[in-house]
Amino acid sequence: MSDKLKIVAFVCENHAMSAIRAASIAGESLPESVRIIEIPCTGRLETPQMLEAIGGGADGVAVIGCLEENCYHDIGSMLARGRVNRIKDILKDISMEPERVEMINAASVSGAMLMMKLRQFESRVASLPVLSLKGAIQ
Amino acid sequence: MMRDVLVIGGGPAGIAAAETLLSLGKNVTVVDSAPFAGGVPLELSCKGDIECTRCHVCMPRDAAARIRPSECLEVVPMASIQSVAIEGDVIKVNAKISPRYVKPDACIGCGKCAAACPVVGALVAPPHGSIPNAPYVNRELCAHFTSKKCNECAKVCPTQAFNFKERSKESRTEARAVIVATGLEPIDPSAVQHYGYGLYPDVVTSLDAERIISKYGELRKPSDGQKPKKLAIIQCVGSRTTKGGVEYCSKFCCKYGLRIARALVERSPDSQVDFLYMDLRTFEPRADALSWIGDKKNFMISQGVAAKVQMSAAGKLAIKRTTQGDASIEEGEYDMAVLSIGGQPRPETKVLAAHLSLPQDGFGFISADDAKRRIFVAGSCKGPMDIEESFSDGQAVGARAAACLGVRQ
Amino acid sequence: MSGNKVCIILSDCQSCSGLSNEDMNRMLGALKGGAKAAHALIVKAPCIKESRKEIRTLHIEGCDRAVVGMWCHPEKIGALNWLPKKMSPSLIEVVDLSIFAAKSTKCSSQVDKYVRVLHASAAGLAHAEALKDRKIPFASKSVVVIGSNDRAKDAAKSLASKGIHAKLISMEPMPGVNAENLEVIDGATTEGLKGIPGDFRIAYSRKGQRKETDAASILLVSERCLSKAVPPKDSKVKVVPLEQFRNYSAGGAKVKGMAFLDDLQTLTTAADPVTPAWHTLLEAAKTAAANHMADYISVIARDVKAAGLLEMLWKEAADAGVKFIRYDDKSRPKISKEDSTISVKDLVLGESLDIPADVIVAPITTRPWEPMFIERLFLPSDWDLKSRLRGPQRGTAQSPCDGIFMVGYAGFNKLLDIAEPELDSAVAQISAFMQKGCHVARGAVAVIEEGKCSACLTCVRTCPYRAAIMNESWKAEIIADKCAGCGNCVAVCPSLAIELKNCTRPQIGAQVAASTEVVQ
Repeated sequence: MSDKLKIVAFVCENHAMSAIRAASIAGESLPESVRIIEIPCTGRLETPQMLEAIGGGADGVAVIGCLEENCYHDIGSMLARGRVNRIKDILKDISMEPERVEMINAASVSGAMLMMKLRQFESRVASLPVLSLKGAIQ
Repeated sequence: MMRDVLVIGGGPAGIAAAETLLSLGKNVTVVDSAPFAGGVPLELSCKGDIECTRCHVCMPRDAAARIRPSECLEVVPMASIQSVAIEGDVIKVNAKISPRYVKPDACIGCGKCAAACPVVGALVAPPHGSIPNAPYVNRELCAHFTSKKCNECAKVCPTQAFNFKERSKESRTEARAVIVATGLEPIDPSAVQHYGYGLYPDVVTSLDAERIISKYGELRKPSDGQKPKKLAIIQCVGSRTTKGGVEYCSKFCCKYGLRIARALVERSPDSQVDFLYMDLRTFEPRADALSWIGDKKNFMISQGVAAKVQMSAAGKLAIKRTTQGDASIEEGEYDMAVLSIGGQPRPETKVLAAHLSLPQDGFGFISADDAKRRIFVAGSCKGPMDIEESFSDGQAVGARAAACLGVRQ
Repeated sequence: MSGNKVCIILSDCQSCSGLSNEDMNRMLGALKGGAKAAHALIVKAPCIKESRKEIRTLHIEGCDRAVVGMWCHPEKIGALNWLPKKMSPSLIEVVDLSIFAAKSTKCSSQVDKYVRVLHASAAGLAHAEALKDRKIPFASKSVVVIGSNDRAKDAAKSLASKGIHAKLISMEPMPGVNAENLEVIDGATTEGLKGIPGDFRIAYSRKGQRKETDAASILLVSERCLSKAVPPKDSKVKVVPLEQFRNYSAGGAKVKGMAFLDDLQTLTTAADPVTPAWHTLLEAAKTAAANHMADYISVIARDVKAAGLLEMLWKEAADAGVKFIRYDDKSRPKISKEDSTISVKDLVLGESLDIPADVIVAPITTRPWEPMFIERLFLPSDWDLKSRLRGPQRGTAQSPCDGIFMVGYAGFNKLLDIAEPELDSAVAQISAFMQKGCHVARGAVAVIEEGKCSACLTCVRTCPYRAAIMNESWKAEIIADKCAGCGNCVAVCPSLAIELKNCTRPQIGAQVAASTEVVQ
């Protein structure tokens, strides 16, 4: 099996996971490259953990959480977005593309929209040059 | 088998009532005419992009997903009520159940059928928050029935959940109390001829627009599938009128119209959205309702009744409207128009009210319940309500019904 | 913690998985030979449903956690009810493999995907340290209602009539409010809140003394604090609060002009008019016209929010002779000092009108909640402590905290005819909550490591459930019975002193590593 595109998606177990389930029952499965890590809340995610994913060989990291102001745990997705923005700045500082990390907010009812955004994210990451870090840290 | 409560209508009010009743230890049967219980919100889309806009579409749907695994809940979809009889303390309801062609208990939710179906719209997958969480086959569009004897879905289904031989059947429910929650249906906008619905393909109702967004993730013009460049949202279509429509105000359209406008403005910065309203009857103060506008250049809100929608010489939609401040008339050119359509009671509400001897007002809304005979009414079949209010009402009525059945709270 | 043994439970139900015999064997082999910390148990059954009993009584020596791979949606087969009994629910991870199914029907290529997913979950779970879920029966049997208005009274009485012991804490005096099962604590200011759902302790001060009362659940019926209606300076007009209009009409003499305003503030400030009570206002205007209380009766408003069936009431008022005048933000109505008129630029005519207004009827002006009130009650609020509360939409009256309900302006700004049914629904939800009788404390909780806390208070400010508090030794402590396991505190702690027991850092790290490994 060749080394294909790898996108790690941190998905909150509440609204975001419901959206993915609803989309999959409608016949729209996750893109091949997306690997899901389910966490209780996107607010749990720390900045180093997103960098670990990239350092470990992921081409892109998507953080999928509830809509702001409707986060199941009140403030989690808002905090996550702040951290994703900080990661984008860090990536710029080390001459990597900030588009590799993205925050996506999804409501439990927006299965179709979430899949559309994931596919758009996947194609954006696929169009970036191949990461030279791939396979370096194993 | 005797149930505690029968809820007629599985929309926001019905689901809320069911949730409250279940948490108070009652067993509930919810009957709905649609293939999925969940009501109008099942067709609506989330209006938020990054921030939640409080459109409340997800509230009843998440509630339905929460109560779905409950063993004390029975949901009967695709049911058409034939008769209602009250014998002593028992309410007996007979319904005819149309075939779904899919066995909900066998379905494992893998989605392979939806991917295999060759006809658009023939196999309808359950939206989030619908009960049962299994697809259904639309007989009128399905190629198996129309002629070609297609079996693609049945072939890929791992659990043989398809049964094209399924027939209509009768169902009888007996309950100690009943909650009528039959809700609203959209007003037919072709009754408001001058807006061009049915004439011009790119004139759609707010409900149509929501369906498009739910399906594709974005708003597209029916004519060519592209995103609209200049869009008009026209409020009060079919409401507050004595010609073609209803006289009362439908209450929820100002709130939803603005939410739709916000969703479109924020998601498509290169589309121009014009919002034309009569009165701004949002539930929040005006400043809060409009605070999201900020300094966005692609949104224009104007108090002025849109008089007519016509086709201009350039093949675009020409909309004439009055402007405030002076009684002049302006005309603008758009490539899509969304009509904020109001709601009216369903014909089923009238029939049920007659069966149960419930009083109705001149518009067909049920104006009182009958707690003595344990007949309750919840939600927008009592008067125009938005999702949040219907849900609230359902919770309250559910508790009243439970109290009536003698639970000590 | 080097990691515990995780049992991977998977049935070889080929019908649901869509895998062939070879693919299934390949998968089972890969699972067994996988992550060092895992112990793979494969349940041989055509459908995992048939192994229900076996899984329920599962006990593997040295293994207290499991990853259960479902080929179908767990809810559909009632799986949530029969997972291994001896294991703590927070140490069982159910993975729904059906969502990873490809659109195409070929499944062989998916085997690696499924193996990777299960290994990642197992690797992660190996590092989890969750506690057991436990049920804590309510210590209190009462409900506290906080509010000074009519709705607070109604709510308290309604709860009392259902047999629930209700305590009404109100800032204003509440004479004559008594009923069986109802305790009135008036003239009291709420100071603080402690405890867990089912065992809340509310501190209040009354007549200079600080006291405490217990409650299983709390209902906030606020509304914003109200101030008295104050007429503009130097004017001759008489201001009648809308809420007292009924009493006024009984004895009022006929005047030249009576104007109903959407908000008294609109004459003096640029603040948004807030008229919650359109039903009351329209009824009052209609009554005034029907009883000929003035020569000229008008309603002056920014927006006439006669929504829903109130539209008909608006028409009735207009038919009775009431004039409706709309203004906009650029031209607010102004009261003249010489005579009793209000000048306003009518939007339709575009010209300035002088409306006779010897009597102005307006709703009582409101001002927002004090931010500190929110903080004292430990409710979630905006980062910059604005008085708007926000939170997840789990219901119309629910706050993020179990057992704390809010109605009226406590949630969002709304019209009064929405706020009232909301109250009924809140009472319904409280009845259901009290019926539950016990609070389920989850095993997945955050724990603060002793010695590492730097007392920065960040976790206390972050926790949406206010489970993080400062204890007597001035160190942060998390009330395990209140913690919902979201992990927000873990991520914000600058000293890395907190860990979420079933989603530890090594756990996420292991899952990331498993997700990014190169498949040869």
